[in-house]
Amino acid sequence: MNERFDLAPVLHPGGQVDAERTLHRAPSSARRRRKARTGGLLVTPALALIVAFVLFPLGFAIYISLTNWPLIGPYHYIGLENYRELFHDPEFLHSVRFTVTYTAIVTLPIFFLGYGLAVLLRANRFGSKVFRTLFFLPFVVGLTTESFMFAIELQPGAGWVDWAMSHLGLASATQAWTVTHDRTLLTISVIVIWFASGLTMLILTGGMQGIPRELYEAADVDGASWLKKELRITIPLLRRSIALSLIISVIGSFLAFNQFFILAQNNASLETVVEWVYQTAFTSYHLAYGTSMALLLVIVIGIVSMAQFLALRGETEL
Amino acid sequence: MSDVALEPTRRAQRGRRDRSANFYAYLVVSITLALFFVLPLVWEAARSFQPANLAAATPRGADFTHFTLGNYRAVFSQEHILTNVLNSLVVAVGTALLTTIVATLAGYGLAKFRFRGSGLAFAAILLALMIPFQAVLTPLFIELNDMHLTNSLVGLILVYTTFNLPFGVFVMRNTFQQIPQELFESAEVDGAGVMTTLVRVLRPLIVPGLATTAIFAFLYSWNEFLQALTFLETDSKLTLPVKLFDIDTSTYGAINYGYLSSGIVIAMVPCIVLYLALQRYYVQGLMSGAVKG
Amino acid sequence: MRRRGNARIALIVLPIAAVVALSFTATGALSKPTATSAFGVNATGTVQFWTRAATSGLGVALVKQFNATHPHLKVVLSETSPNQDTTKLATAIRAHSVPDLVGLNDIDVPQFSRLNALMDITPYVNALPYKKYLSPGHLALAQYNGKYYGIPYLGDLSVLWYNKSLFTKAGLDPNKPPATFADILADAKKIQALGNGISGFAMAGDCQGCLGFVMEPDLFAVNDQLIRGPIGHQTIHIVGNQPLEQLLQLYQSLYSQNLLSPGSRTETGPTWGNDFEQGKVGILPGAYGFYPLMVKAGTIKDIGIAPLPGPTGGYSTFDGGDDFVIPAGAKNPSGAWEFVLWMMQTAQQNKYPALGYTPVRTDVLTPAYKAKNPYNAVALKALAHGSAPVTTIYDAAFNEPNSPWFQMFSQAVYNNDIAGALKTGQAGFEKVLTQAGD
Repeated sequence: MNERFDLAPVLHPGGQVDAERTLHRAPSSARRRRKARTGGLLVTPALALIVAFVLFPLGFAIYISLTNWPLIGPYHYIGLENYRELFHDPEFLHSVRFTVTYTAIVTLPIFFLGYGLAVLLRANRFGSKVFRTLFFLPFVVGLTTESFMFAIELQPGAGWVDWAMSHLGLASATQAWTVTHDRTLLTISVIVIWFASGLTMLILTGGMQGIPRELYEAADVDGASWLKKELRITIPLLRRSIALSLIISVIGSFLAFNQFFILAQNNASLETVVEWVYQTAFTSYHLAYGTSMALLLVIVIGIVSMAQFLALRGETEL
Repeated sequence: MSDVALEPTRRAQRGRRDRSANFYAYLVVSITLALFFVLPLVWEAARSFQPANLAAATPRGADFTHFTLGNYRAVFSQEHILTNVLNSLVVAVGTALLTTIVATLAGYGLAKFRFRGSGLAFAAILLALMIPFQAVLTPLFIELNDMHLTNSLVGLILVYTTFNLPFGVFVMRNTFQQIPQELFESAEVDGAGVMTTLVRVLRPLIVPGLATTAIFAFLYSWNEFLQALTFLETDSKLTLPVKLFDIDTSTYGAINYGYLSSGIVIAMVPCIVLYLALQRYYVQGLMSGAVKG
Repeated sequence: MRRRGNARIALIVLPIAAVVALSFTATGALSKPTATSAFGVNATGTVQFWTRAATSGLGVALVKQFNATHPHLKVVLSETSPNQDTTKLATAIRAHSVPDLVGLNDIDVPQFSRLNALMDITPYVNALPYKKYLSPGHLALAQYNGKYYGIPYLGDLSVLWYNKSLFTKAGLDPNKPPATFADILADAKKIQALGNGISGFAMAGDCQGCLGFVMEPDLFAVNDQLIRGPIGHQTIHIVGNQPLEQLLQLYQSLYSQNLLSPGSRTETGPTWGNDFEQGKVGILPGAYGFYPLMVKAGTIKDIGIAPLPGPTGGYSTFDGGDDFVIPAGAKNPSGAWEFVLWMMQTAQQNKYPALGYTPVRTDVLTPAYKAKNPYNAVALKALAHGSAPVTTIYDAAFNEPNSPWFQMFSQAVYNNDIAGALKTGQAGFEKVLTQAGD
């Protein structure tokens, strides 16, 4: 969840062309040309940056992935060799399996906790705004900073985690949390759920507040249970917000790096895909090999985003 | 989201109904959850005032009787950490400014001008939204390195700006679309140029969009770790998160948990303050995807 | 008006374009060797000196003194991040914006010399009157194809620390440190038996590099190396390696017989040795660099030092530490060399031990030195028997998180499968070797 919902606007398609439509009144052709040039100039800086630092690197990546480019030194063209090696590389395959497992573990808890928080606070009761702010604070502070925080607090025998857990009778006072595979994965998952559920809450709250209250009141008249109201009214009308929160959370988990790099750096069995790319390219100097994996990442993320974009585009307005 | 809140009369009605067991249950659950979410952050703030040697010892209530500013004094007298805090500030403010300026221009151009290639430009920006920076980390590194923009705060600002632009352009484009066309036309009739219109006439109307773009860009750059780790080299250029990583991984028992905890708190404070101050714009930005459209 | 509007936009666009354009102009003229007499004498300007965080203490202390006494030349010290130092140097080399001098971990020098990324300083090294006294291990790592690409900078040696007062309490002779694997196991058992929170042995059990640093000398002691042959023609000797098998057996026994301190299994390096420094552990294979920490902890009077033993005798040390290297294309190589020459002077070398480092000139080991630095004298003596693998794959094979060395260690020690571990290690090392193209 390092990415701060870059995706949000993808879900806001439609209306691109209204600028053109609203420019009524046929201006003189000279004026139109002048305005066109101004418009072009206004967009140029943004476009230049995006071409220079996103689109060009993307093309460059394809080229690099077909060579044996090390960090320094000579290189030559090797065709699809990197990709062939990738699918026989146990470390890489492990990182993929691990990342998918991690994503599977955290996604639903983040969603359900976030959903619960949104339900708890949706009625705008006394204090609900304050609570909403407080629940969201871990997300605001950011996972990087919080990973350092837990690096201190998870120290065996010295952090508050051991202190609290041993007083609750759940662990010994010198329990290490980030050494064995399972326990580390569990620990980091809990931290991430704590960090990210506030975001899901906010997204769902936005959706919930757009649902007309009359629908619930009508259901109350019919004597519908709470669960029935959630299933029949809230969830269908929240489809878009639910999809958005799930996609953000899945992509965020798939690109996970900071929390594992900081809290489980020495543990090769807890290496995510992005960590593997980083280590391969910059620690082992196999830049091209790492790049070939990164490109597969673009395809996976691209497919998820695209599916999302198309699904929501087809959806009619509420 | 308060904009979307229920109208006042109904809220008052509910308020009365709420004085029930149900309401107290809500309060208890919420307060418990608030402690769960906030206590770890508050604890860290308290820890940063502990003497450094206590941070490595078992926590006890008594540990919080000897508060000291020693860690902060050490952090701010240690030339390097102070440099790193300033680097982070330069990068975050620089990114916020540059993103806001470039996104405003592009948003304006896309929303209010008609020109050939505008569809393509928009598509390119849309495409950029779907490419996570992690995926182009290696080619970007080579490119920046060849351009002498590694180990450079300017390089980092340019990259951070680029990855914040798609979102910023969307926000600003929406903002401009919501401004009535008549306003532009009357400005034009008055003889105002493009920039004059932007700066003098429209400024009050686009401030919310600017604030949204700026706060997202600031928080992104202030917290970013992987790109800073990859693109920066020497100690004097590192941003705060990478410096904290250095402190956390130093060898031979040299970790000073006092430094680390006060560094963590320094990293937290701007995020929290900025969020509390500009919460409305932050949430609006978040919602622009979820509820509008 | 419109024109003015466009002009303003141009004001914004142009600086960005300028930055981008400017950056594409490449620099990086290669420095040519100058006449030996002028080189390193009365240089001016600044010297950008990079040191890695793990060994920065020496540079921090001595650069200050150099700058105070050399008004015409200023050394500017930069620390590179832990575990990132070689990546950062490679980055700088790629960008042709290199520092003038680097304190490079000696085992990392070959991978850079091989790429012609370092300045050939052979004539200057050969001109040194004390060349034959330079640490042989460090110098071997600086040599490639018969040329010198570096010169020893500091020794960061591995030694065997033991707690004399615990030895006495356990009925052992405090002046007889363990000299074989069997001694280590037997002594650790007796000390563990003292109870009271006292442990027999300590290690950084989750720190790849630390384990390599203190375990390999046990093999060097009997002239055993896991990677053999000259760079370009190297082979791996793990399966069937008797001393290695004994070494893994020793650590496996220490682990399975619960002779390790509580933090040993999980130690990743940052607090390595702390339990020993507090007097709670009998034996610690560690770094000489712990010395200042023990002085600070006030426990040094109870502590003894010995070289790391082989399976049934002999001793060695890991010639760890740094070589000075001047990257090709450095702007002020002469200034860099002037600083190097100053560091090599006996006066400066004598300042090393108190800061936790071992000098790189063995001729400073005089009776006076021994009397003043009894602990370091043991390390400095071991330097003559020291070794370090000369290979370009050291980091990949030993130090990285998923290194085959650590996989082998874990499988043998924590999973009690030594035969399987040796196979894992052999295959893993060979894979790394193939990937490096050696």
